[in-house]
Amino acid sequence: MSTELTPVHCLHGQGRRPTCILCGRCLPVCPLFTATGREELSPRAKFFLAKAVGEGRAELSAKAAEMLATACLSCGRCEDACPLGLCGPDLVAEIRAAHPGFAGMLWKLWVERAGLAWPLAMTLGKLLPGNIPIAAVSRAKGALAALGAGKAPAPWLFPKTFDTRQAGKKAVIFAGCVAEHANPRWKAEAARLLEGLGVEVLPDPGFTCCGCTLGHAGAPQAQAAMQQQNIEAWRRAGRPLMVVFCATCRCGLRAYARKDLGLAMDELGPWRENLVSLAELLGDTTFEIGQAAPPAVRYHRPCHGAGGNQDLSLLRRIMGERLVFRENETPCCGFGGLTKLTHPDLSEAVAKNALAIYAPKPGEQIVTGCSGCVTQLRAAAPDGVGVGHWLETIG
Amino acid sequence: MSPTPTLPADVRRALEKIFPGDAAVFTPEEMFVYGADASRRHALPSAVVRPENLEQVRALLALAQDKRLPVLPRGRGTNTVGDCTPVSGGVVVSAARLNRIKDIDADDFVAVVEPGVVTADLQAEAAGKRLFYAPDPASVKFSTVGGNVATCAGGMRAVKYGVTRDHVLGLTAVLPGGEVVHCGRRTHKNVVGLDLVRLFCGSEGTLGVITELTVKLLPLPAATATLALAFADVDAALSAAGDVFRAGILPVALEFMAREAMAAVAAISPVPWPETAGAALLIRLDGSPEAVAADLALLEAATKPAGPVWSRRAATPQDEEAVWEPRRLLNPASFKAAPDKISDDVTVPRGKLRAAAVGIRTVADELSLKILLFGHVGDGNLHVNIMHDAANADERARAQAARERILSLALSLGGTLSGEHGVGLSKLPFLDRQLSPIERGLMARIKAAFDPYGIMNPGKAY
Repeated sequence: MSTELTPVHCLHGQGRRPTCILCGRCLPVCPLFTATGREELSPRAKFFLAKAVGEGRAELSAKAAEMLATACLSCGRCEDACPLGLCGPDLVAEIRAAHPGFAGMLWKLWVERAGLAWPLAMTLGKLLPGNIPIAAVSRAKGALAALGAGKAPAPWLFPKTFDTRQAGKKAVIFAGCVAEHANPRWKAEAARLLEGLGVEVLPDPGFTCCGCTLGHAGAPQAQAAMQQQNIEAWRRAGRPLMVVFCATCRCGLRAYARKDLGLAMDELGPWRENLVSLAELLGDTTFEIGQAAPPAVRYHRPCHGAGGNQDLSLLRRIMGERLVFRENETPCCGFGGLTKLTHPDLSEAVAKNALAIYAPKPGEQIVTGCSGCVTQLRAAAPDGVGVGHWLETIG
Repeated sequence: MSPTPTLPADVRRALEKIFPGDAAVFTPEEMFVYGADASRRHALPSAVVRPENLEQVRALLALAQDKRLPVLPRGRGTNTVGDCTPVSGGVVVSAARLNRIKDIDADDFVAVVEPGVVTADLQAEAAGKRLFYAPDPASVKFSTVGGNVATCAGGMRAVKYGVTRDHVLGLTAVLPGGEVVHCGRRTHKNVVGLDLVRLFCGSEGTLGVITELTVKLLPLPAATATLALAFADVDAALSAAGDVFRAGILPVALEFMAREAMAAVAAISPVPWPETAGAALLIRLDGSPEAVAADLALLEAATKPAGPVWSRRAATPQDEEAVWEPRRLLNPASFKAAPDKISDDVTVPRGKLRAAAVGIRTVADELSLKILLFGHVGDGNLHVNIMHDAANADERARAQAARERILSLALSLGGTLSGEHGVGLSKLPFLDRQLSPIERGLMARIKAAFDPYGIMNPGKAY
């Protein structure tokens, strides 16, 4: 039977979410829909089903809960496309937070198939009951190490002159979960470059995860605890520069200034200003191009692009003509949020779609500025194609 | 979950065989969104399938005819009239995986595409070869070529280049029973036989399932420029619009916005026109850089007598972007102007636009409603958004009354109930006001020739 839907009243409930108008603008930007052609995974489908569940017109069956709470890459592209500013990841996070079994399910998944997401699991696992069995972690770690070894690009850019405009400043490195647990070389490389710039690198003041993933995971309290720990650590270090080289971490950290996390009024400015991307700090640093330079390098723009744009201008400058970036070819890698854990099949389909668009030839490289993207694209890239954080191209 | 129209077990098994794995969907949760489109009506289908090739569509339509199962083709479900709502259950055929651009030929000036290709993707790919796919509906970035053909979508460039049907040269479709028809050719001219291609254009999924389209391409215009004008009132703006044609200029777009629509945009974004303006025109030209520059001067002279209170010429892409941005924001702005809206797209003969605007103003005043009026006035096509709060029974009734009066007004001026959106479910109750029983009977007999058991998108369009 046809049922005329209840009319929209987006202006009535202050603080309430406007109602999705089903216009369809979110479909072409949703990486899950684009990679699979499954409209039921689109933000439009989620908002529509969630509304029906909320109004009692559809049952929150196990299947509905699974679709609503587990299949979203948290990339946020739908929010930019939506005329009402609706954000799919926010909806999913709320459903996760409201769904009592979700944290337990995640925990189980981490144990069973943390796989490439284990660096996240390592950090996040501390907040949830129980322990990750050592065997599961070492299995996952082994898999990642084996995989990374072949595809990380050998360095081919060598610093020639350093931009010393920031010399004398104090900085801490916010490395993020992946660099801390899986790719310690990135952090070492970042420290070496900062030294070249004349920036004094202070010891890690006790940073934890930026909290981005926990927010998406529907654990707002745990997220807030991590955010506060990071703010405290920054204060302890004397509010120095916070250098990031992961777009997602930078995106997560920037958001602190928009929430009430105990940053004092006079701290908001310094928090925003001192949160800098490594690419930005490198300024006019020049590099020599070495023998191992590939014929072409594709820049993969992370969805959480707050740190990505500085990367692009740096890479354009130091890599020159080799660097390929097309504004109309910016697929999502598919790592996003928790999908890697909850739906590895979907995550892989999105990665496959991205690589089909990039179509790298043997000997070419893909570089990016987000830990999650590196992990994901490295796992999916064909043999002979180097995939890495741009830091790895620097020797 | 609302009850799913039941599918006999043998039919389900047959569908699973034709559409293995995730190509067929049967759970109510997964099918939920496929029951709706931008009309926001909803009814659950009995199954959803995602074909990837012609053979699957043939097998489906053979089965569907045999089992008398309704079939509903679906691009991205962006139509606003309920064309994709399965009011009688049935199988929704998603074109999401029929999305290949098969050919763009710079010698023949044609493109061959599957129906699920997003129209803007076709335009971009063609532009890469300096070719131009002209149809440009407002949904161009998120609707599909197949959906555009099925609804005969219009858009801003229709005034110069025509609507979607003017650009479809040929198509392949599967009819109920599984027969495949190839209508039209790859030629830009063809007068052999009845024009079956045109019959499919705007048929709203009622004749068959389109699986491939051959569309016309044009040389990509080298330059564009826009003249943005504001006037004290609607009448002055529409009088200037008439002057444009009288001066011998055929613009590529001639967009109009009345005061309430301009105010809705101003509420969400800075706008370039003065606050006192009561109407605006955006007039775009295209062609060679020299021709565009010359036409722009002509255009300025032609629109002077109507007395614009503000004007801005935009001849670079950045400047054009700035003057067109408010027009693009109109749709999102309209959703913030009131809790609900009834949206119609009446079209009148070009010479009757001023009378239509006066009539719509009278309806708004008499029923104390805010009506956003804008549209593609080069085509006589007016978008009428009747803003209201549906939670207020009185306001809802007044909005419905306004809709009825505006539809009647358009018909009394020799116009049509719909210039772009189609009939679907939402204009069906009014159809007899425009079509006689003889015409509707003829349409029913034509449909029966394609679809003898009435399984294609039943209960819609005509």
